[in-house]
Amino acid sequence: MIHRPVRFSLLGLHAAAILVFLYLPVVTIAVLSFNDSTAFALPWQGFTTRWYARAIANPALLEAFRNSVLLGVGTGTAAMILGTAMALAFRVPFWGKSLVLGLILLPVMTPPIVHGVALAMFWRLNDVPLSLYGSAFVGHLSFVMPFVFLTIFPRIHRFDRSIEEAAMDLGASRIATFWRITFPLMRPGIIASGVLAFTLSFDEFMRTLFLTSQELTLPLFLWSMVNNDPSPQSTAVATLIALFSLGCLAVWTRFASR
Amino acid sequence: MAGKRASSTAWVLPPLKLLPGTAFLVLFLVVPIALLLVISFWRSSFGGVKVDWTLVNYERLLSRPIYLELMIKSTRIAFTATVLTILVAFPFAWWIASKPPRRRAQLVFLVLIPFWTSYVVRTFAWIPLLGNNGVINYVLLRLGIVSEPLNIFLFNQFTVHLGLLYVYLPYAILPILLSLERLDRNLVYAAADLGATPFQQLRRIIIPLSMPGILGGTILVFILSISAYVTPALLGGTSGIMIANVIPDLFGVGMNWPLGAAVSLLLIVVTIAWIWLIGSRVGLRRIFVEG
Amino acid sequence: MTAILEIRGLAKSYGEIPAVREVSFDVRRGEFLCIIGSSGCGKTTLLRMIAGFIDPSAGDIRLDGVSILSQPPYRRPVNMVFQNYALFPHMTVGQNVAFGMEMHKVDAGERRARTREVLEIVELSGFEDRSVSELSGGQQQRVALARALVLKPSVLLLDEPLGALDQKVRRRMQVELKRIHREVGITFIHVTHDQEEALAMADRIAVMADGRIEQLADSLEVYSKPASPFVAGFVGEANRFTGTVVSAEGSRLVLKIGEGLVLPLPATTELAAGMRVEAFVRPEHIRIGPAELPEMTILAGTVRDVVFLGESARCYIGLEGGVEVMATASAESVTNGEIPCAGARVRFGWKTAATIAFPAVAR
Repeated sequence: MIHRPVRFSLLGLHAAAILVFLYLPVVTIAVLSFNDSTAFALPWQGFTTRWYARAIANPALLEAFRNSVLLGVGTGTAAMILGTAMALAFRVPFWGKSLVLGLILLPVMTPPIVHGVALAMFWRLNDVPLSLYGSAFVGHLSFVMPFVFLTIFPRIHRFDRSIEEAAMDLGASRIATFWRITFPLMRPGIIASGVLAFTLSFDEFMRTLFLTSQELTLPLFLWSMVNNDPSPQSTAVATLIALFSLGCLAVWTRFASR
Repeated sequence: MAGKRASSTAWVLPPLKLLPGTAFLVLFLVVPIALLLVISFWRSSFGGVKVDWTLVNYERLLSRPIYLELMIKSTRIAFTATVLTILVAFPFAWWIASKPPRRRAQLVFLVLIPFWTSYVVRTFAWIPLLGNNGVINYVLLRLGIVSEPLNIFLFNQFTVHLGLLYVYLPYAILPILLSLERLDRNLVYAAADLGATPFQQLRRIIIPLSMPGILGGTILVFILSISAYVTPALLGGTSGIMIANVIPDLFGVGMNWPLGAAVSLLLIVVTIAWIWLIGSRVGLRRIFVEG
Repeated sequence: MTAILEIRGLAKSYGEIPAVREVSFDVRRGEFLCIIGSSGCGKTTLLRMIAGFIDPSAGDIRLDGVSILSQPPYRRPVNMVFQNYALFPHMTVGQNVAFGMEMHKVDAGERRARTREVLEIVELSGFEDRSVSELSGGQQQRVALARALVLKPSVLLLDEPLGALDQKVRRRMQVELKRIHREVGITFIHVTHDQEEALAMADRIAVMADGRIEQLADSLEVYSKPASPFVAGFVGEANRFTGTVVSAEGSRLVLKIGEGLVLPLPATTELAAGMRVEAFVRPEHIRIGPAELPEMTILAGTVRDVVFLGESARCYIGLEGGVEVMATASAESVTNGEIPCAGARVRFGWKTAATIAFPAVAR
C-alpha cells in the first residue's frame, strides 16, 4: 500500500490466482452441464442441452427447489424479525448481556453436524416427526438468526440516537419514532441480513440432512443425485441455482435503495 | 463502547424484545446439545435409548482406535486447512481493502457468487478437475510434463485440504476484510513515515490491528473444517475420511445413538478447546461483534 | 541563509484535475514555515509529496541539495505529525514514541533515554506507560509530536495538527509549538487553514490557492503588503470593494464604486484609469468619528450592528448601495461611549495609504 510497484503486482497476482481458483469449479460445472455424456466428467462428448431439459422436467427436483425457496423465505423473514428485535434490545445495557451474546454466538460455534444430530435427537425423543416446516425450519432458523444479528448489530450500534431524540422532542411516540425514523434508516441493513439469511438457508445441507425425512431441500436432492446418479444433470441444476441466486440478487439491488 | 458500569446495570432487566429469540435459541440449541450430553451416558437399546446411566460409550470411544485416531486426524487436517485458508485469505482481503469502497462491494460480490452454486455440486466439481481424466491431467499430458495421468490429486488428504480451502475461503475473507476496513489508513502512513518498511508496516501495525478479524476467521474455518462431512465424503477417498463421516451412521443404520452422542461430544470438546485457545487472546466479543 | 529544502516545479494532477500546479520555493534551514489556504488549495497534497506518500506528476524535491524523490517515505529524513495524530492504539505512549527508533535499529537503552528526553520537551514526562486512549486531545497531539521529533528529522511536517483542539488548548499549543521549535532548532513546515494561527506562529507564510503559491513572505509582509486579492482577503480580516478607476481633480485617481461611492487611491498606486479594481481596507485602520486628518478617505453611513468580543468590538456600518464595512474598535472605546449604537449615522474613515488595491482578477 505504501509505494513500491513490485509489491502491488504481487498482491494483484495473488488476488487474480484466488479468483481463478474460486471460479474454476464453477466454470467446470457450467461447461460440463452442456456435455453430451452420461458422466459428470470429461471427456467432452459434444454439446447438448438435454440435461437442462431433464432438470426442468424433473418433478422431484422442482419440488425440492420449491421447498428450498419456501423454507428460505420463511427462515429469512423469521430471522429478520427475531434478529432485529434482539439487536435493538442490545442498545441498552442490562444484566446478563454477555450471557445472551454468548447464546447468540453459540450456533456459529457449534459444528453443523452436531447441531443437526442433537436437534434430531431432540425431536425424536419427544416423538415429534421430522418435517420440512417443523423440524427443518427450526433448525434453519436457529442457525441463521445469529448471522442476522451480527449483520444488523454494527449498524444499530453506530446509529445516532440523537435523531430519535429529535423525533420524540417533536412529538413522536416511541412506536411512531421506530416506524418513521429508526426502521427506515435501518432498513438497508435489515434487508441485507434478510438476503444473507435466505442464502444461508438455501444452501444449508448438514443440519437439514438430519431434520427431514421425505421432503427434500435442493441441497439434499443434489446430494442424493451426486451420490446415486452422477450425470451432468446435477451440473445443470447447479448452474440453474447459481443463475437463480444471481437473479434474486439483481432484483434486490435494483429495488433496495441504500 | 459503554464503560464498565457493570454494577449499575446489574439490576436492569433485559428488554422484552429479547425473549422470543433467546427462548428459541435455548430451546432449540442449548437443550438439544444438553440432551446429547445426557444421551451419551445412557445405553443404546433396540429402536433408541434406555435411560441407563453408564460410561460404556466413552469406554468404546477411547478403546476402539478408530474414533480417537479419526479425531486426531480430523484435528490435524482442520488445523492445516485453517492455517492455509487464513494465509490465502489475508492478502486477498488486503487487496480488496485497498480498493475504493464501490469496487470493494463489487469484489465481495464476486467472491460470493460461487457461494450460490450448491455447496455439494461445487465440491463434486473438483473430481472432473483433478481426476485421471480430468482437466489438470489433460493439461499436464498435453504439455508433455507427464506421460501418464497422475492420480495423486484425487481421493486423498490433499484433495480434502483443497476442498476445505475452497469451500471455506469466504468465511475467512469476510471477517478479515471487515477488520481491515476499520483500520485507519493514517496509522500505516505514520508507520511508514517513522521508518517502517512495508514488511514492518504489515507485521507491527496491520496484522496486530486486524487481529480480531483474523482470529474470527480462524475460529469459523476451524469449526467448519473439523466437522466437515461432504468434502471428505466426496473427495477424500478412503484415506481422507474425517470424524464427521462416522456420525450419521451411528444415528441411522448403525443405530447406536449414545455412541454417536459421545463422538459428537468429543467433537464439541475439541471445538471448545480451539475456541478457548484462540478466543482467550482477544475477547470473543471483540472478535465477533466489534472486529 | 541556506535552503534546506528546495521545491522545483512540483506538480500533481489526478487525471485532468490539477491539485498542485508547478510550485517552486525554498525552505530556509531552521525556519517555521506555514502554508495556508482554504480546503482544496493543494497544501496537504504538497505536504504529502514532501513526506513521500504521494508521487508528484512533475518536478523535484531536494533535501540538502540531493533529490529525495526516489526515496520511499520510510527512508526520507523527514517526519510528519498527522492531523488526527495517528497514534498506534495497540501501543503505549512510550512504545509509540520509540517506534521510529525501533525501525531505525536504535538499541533499547538509547531508545528509553531519548524517549524520556523528548517527552520532557513536550511536557509529558512520565507518560511512557500510559495507554493512548486515556489521553486528552492536546496530550495525544504532543505524543504525535514527540514521536516525530525524537527521530531528529531534517524537516518536520505538520498537517493541521491543531485542528481538532478546542480554542483555548489550541492557543496554548501554538505557543508550545513555537517554543519547541526554538528549543529543538529543526525546520518546521506547518500546514493550516487558520490564517490567524499562521500569523501567530510562522517566520514565513506561503499562501496557497488553487494549487499555486500566491505569496511567500514573512508574516508582516503578507499581512500588510499582500501580493494578490486572494491573499488580502484570506489573511486577516479585510473590507473588500470592487470598482473602476477614474481620474478626478487633476492627477488624483479614485475608485468609483456604484453610485456616489468614491474611494481615493493611494498616491503610490500603479493602477490606471479604466481598470476594474479590487480594494481592501483592514478593519483596524478604520476610525469612527469626527476626527479628520489629511490624506484620509472619509465616508458616511449608518451603524448596523455593534458586536462586543471581549477584548475588542466590531462595528458593522452600512453604506449606500448595500455595501457594508466592518471596523474594529477597542473595548474601551465602546464603554467610553465613543462608538455609536445601531441606527446612528456616522462618519468614519482611514488613511488613504492603508488602502490596498489590485487589478481585479477574473475568478
